[in-house]
Amino acid sequence: MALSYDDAAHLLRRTGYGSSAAEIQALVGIERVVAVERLLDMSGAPVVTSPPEIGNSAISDFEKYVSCTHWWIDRMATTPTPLQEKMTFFWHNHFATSRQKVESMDLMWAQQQILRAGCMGNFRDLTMAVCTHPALLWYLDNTTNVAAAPNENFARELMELFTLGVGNYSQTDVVAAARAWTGHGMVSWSNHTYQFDSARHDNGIKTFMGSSRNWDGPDIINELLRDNAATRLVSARFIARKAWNWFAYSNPSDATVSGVANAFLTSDFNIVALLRAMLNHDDFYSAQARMALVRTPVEYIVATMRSLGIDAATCHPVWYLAGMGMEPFSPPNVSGWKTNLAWVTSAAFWAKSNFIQYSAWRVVEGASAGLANIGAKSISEAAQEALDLFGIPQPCTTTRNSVTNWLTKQRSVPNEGWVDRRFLISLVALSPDFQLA
Amino acid sequence: MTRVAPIVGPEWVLTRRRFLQASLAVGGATALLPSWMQELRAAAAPLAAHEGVLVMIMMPGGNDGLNMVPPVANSAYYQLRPNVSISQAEALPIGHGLGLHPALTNVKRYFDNGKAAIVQGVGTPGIVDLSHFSSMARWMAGSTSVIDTGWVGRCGDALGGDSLFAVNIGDDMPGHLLGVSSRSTSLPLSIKGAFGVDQTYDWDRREFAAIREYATVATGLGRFGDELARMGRTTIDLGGRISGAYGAVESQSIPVQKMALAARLINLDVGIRVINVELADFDHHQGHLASHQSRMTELNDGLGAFFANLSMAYENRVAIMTFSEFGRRPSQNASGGTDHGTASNMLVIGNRVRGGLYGAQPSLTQLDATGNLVPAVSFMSTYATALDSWLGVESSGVLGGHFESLNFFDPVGDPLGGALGVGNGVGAGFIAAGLDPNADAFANPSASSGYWLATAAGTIYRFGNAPFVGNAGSGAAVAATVAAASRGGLYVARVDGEVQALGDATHRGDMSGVRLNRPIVGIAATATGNGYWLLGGDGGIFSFGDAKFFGSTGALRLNQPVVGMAATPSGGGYWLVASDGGIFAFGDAGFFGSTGALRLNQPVVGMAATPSGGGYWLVASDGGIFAFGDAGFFGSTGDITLAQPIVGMAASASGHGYLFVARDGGVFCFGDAKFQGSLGATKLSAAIVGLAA
Repeated sequence: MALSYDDAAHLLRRTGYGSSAAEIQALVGIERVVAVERLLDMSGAPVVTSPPEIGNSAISDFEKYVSCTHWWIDRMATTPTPLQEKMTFFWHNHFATSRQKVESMDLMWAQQQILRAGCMGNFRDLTMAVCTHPALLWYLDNTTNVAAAPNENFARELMELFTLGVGNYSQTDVVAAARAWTGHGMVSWSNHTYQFDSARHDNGIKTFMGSSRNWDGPDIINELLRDNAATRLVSARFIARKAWNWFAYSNPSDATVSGVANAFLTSDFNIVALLRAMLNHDDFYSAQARMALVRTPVEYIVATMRSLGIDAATCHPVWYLAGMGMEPFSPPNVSGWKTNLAWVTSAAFWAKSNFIQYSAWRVVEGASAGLANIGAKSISEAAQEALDLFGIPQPCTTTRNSVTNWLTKQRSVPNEGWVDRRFLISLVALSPDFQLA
Repeated sequence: MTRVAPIVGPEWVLTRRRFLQASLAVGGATALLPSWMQELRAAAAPLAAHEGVLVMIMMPGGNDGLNMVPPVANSAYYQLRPNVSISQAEALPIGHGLGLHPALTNVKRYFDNGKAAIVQGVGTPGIVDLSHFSSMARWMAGSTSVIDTGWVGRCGDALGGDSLFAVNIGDDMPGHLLGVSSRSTSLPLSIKGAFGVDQTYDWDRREFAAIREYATVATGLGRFGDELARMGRTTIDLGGRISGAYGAVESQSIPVQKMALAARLINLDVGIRVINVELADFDHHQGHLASHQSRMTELNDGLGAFFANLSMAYENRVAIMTFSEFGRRPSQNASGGTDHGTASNMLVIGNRVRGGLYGAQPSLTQLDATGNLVPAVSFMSTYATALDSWLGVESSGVLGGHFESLNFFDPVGDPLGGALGVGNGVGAGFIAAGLDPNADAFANPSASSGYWLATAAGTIYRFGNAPFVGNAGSGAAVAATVAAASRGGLYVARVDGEVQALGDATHRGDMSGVRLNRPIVGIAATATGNGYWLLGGDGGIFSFGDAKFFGSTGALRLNQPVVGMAATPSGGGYWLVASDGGIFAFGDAGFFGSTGALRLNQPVVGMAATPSGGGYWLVASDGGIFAFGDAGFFGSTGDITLAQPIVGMAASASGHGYLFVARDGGVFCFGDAKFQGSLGATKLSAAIVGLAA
């Protein structure tokens, strides 16, 4: 099935961060399966080079946070393989870990490299890697989970949020898993290297998922995702549903999810198989899926930067992300960010408008050539050029009318030619069309 | 500093109305209108006397009720928590074998005064769910099953609240504020430079209008597209309505800043019924004692800041309620922390709260299979109590069933005692026909005098022969107004010390940009028209132009806050009045008596001097008048029940009469003061705070 214009625009919005009219056009008429394979191909991904602040103990965590966040946002805005960054963020939201508690951006950065390296690999391997890394263990208090009195926090979230979903395990399982994970932590509060301390591990017999033996932490993950057919199925559905919610639309039917979950399960948790099944699924292109997601704050910022061709140093996203409701490396809690309507707030609108006004200033100051010759264009040409620039060449009627009416009014005022370019950028970026994914 | 008074375009106001009229004419039936358009029809109004305000303090992560209200007489508590408990010596004693966490000094004060309820053992009986996520979802939903809407949102649906019915202070929208038809608002801690707030320039206003135009009709982009378009429009409109609540808070503490903002938003009286304030994380699996100490300190400081900033007019109408998804496990873990628990304690605080203990402390020795407390009371009962007794909506409709009331509220108390009054035949009998600020509909052709009424948001309404002066534009909340000597204009003082001169009044300087100890509460002008004084709530005086400084109470420790001032006719002195009717006279102002030693039914809210300077009147919030010196008594509303409290007064030019104004714009005239119209029947977007005549 060949992609229509709308299909292509939709697919690019979901797998990337917004595309120009030309980029959309380049996918029109291509077979869906071919286009999806093209987007799944990560061979062109740029090499990761750590920001210079990482590993430097003389630099504060906050400065590291700013540089890592801007590094990541710049990468999102420029990479030829945006799906890699979208998946890295998906797993960041999934294995939510916050620098507000893990007081080491070096660890947070290291965790992100695990997420990026495994973001399109095997889900079991990714779970194992991120669960045996100090950032998550610290965040969920497993660093102090010891045989003498187990701490349930990590064990509970491993099942509730990372693999099975609530209701698919018992409190007995939580207690057993907590005991199994005793001793998994880091060397010390000053040496953040992962360490399994057998002296603090509970070597007793624990009954987990009905099976009694001397479980160790990693055994729990292997049981859930490798050896136990029941939990494997539950987990495949749980992750498939979460991906669908994140990339397609909220609350999909069981029938929709099961197709994707089956592909995930039969591939033994291959994440690319999951994505392939989802992105080729007819329901992904259904009316229900169109415009059915609000761009996350990070996506909104990156889409703006891509449209205007500016970098993070120019528009300083960190100043605005908290107000919009999403600071990378700082999810609000272990369940990650609330989505969609949670970002449709006055607070978020103000943060977006402040961000776009600042960005527009920087553009007018010379940071970008976007809309530079707008003054020489007719009203309809100028409106279309701005809509094209922001990747919404065919907006809803209200948006087009409002932009055109504004240009008409503004142009009737003498000596205000300076207003057009800067305000047109704000106006289009604050349209409902541009705020949707 | 010279300011040009910005005129907030009547165009702005009218465009919206014309648009509405036009769309209503086309649309006809309400059912055909998109939900956001219905919302415009129900623009926020000041609250009615019976409407209570509920502040929810959310403690995410599972607040440790046991250490918040430690059972200090129970040895089992110390056996379960040898290292993670509050000792009897540390705890603040409240009797009943209980203590309060040592940080909670403000809670103790309220508890000792019978104004704090502690609801013990609140949880989800029959459900042991130790997950943050699903437990909090249940608490937010106000349902034992997890559903999409929240209990506050459904309350807004039932009461037809607009977007300011429920407000979250923060960046996201917590689930309990989500309704079906009502949409709540999330307000940030700072709106400095926020889009839509400063409407000074045409080019900005043009763009704001274009953003609003995105929400003219359904976008065709689906639900989220419509919501995004609507949010742009709502937010731009919102800026002008709530900007007055934003001002400096002298604390770096985020909880303190949030609670101060919550109180100031309530003071604006723009229709807010529920405010949610979220504190930092309470999930302390390790290092519990120190972390919980920080949270309790933040809670206590936040409560202090809240009541310090709350206007006296709301003290009887606001209640605070804490909640969390669960408590902590009674036994400590080996990390110096506590794991997820079940039942916990809730606090309910306010002047109209029936203090004491509710529910029951669950046994610490007979725990459930997970080692947790067995709840004594369902969280649904606390919501039912708040809905039925405080928010005034049938709880069974909102909660989908009947839940036992815990009866911890007295009826909402207006400063005037509650029920809607009929006025005295002066104010209520003359209802203005029009709605537009400054519209001629108010003019009385035979008028020989006039006056202006000012709202907290800076809208100025003129009556009689008071000239058109425009509005006071955006900025902090208006605190007080005074007519210029010429009667051709007036001064508008804002709580942050900014002064705007409207009409023929001349700006002589102000305190904007200066950090004040207390907000501005009053202003008086000199007889020459060339100067004025600003009055701070601590009695501090700031003089401008030819107004001279004759002394202040700024350095005294006052029993009650200063609430108003009046200048002598010579300009050589002034009086300050405190809320207990205490008078402080400076310069050539004489002392003619005060009510400082009387026990007043209601606080004094304003004063006016006679033209001779030989006397003055004080007015209380119930309209009671106290006349001293050569000031005559011409009547009062002290013996009738007002719908809304009196907020200001002025003397007639002859001194043989006076008038005062209520918060809803009702005007009451006595003696030779001529009634020229009022706003008593007009839905206002902000409360009346000033009268200038």
